[in-house]
Amino acid sequence: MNQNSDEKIFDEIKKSLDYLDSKTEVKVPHMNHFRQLVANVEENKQKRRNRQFFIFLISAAVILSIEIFLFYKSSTFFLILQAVTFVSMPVVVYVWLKQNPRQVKKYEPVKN
Amino acid sequence: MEEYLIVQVRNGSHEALTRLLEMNYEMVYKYLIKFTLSKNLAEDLVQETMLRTIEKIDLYDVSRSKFSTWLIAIAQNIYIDSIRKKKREKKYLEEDARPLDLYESYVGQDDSMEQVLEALSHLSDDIRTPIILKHYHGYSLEEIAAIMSIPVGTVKSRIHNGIKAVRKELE
Repeated sequence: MNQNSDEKIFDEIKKSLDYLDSKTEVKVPHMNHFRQLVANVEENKQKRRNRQFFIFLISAAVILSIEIFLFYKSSTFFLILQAVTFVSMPVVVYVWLKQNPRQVKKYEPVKN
Repeated sequence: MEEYLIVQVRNGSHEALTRLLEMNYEMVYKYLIKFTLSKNLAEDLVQETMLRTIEKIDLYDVSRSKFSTWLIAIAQNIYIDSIRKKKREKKYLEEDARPLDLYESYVGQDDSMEQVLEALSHLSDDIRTPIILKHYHGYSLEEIAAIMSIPVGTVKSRIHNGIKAVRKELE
């Protein structure tokens, strides 16, 4: 008895949600709204990439300065730092490229 | 048309992505409004879905699913996250008491449907969601448990309690 009553409720729920679906009027925003959204997000992505690249350049400059200093002070430490940089830099570049695969191009008309 | 746009998006076309979002907006909105039963909340969540889609578009793999399926998965995650956030912010009880804010659109059109929708709106989000996922969208208990990150037993008890509450309200 309870199962029949449950089945009836499930059916009522399904019908009411279908009813909601059929009666819902959706105001789809104008295309310019979506263009603006895409432009804003892409702009933020580009700013993030620029920040990351700037940090990368600063890090590279600092490491280079340390290496120059070590070159005159201690050849052992210089070689160790060279080896570490040689291994870690490609890994860093690879990880960065994975996170920033490509940039979406600016507005272009789409052919129908 | 959609396949063509996806190819264009993968080639980096800004306009193709815009078109894809515009084409799928209504579908995502209607999906979300069934869960939220609130126009305002559905609009906010759709907007967030669009933003996250643009952010993550490079991660879309056309061989794994249709674009609309991927979009729905994003919408679902955003909705589930919003439920968790509401609970953390302790607005849970206040939101339980909110009136169905699309109710006035349907007054006088079909009493029985309105009653069911109103009964559903009185359920909390985390009880209403598994009911709709199971009895409207046809997900299994295990799938719902994975979507909501809760045990299967909790899904079962929430559905049971939710149906009991709806039955009581309709009697």
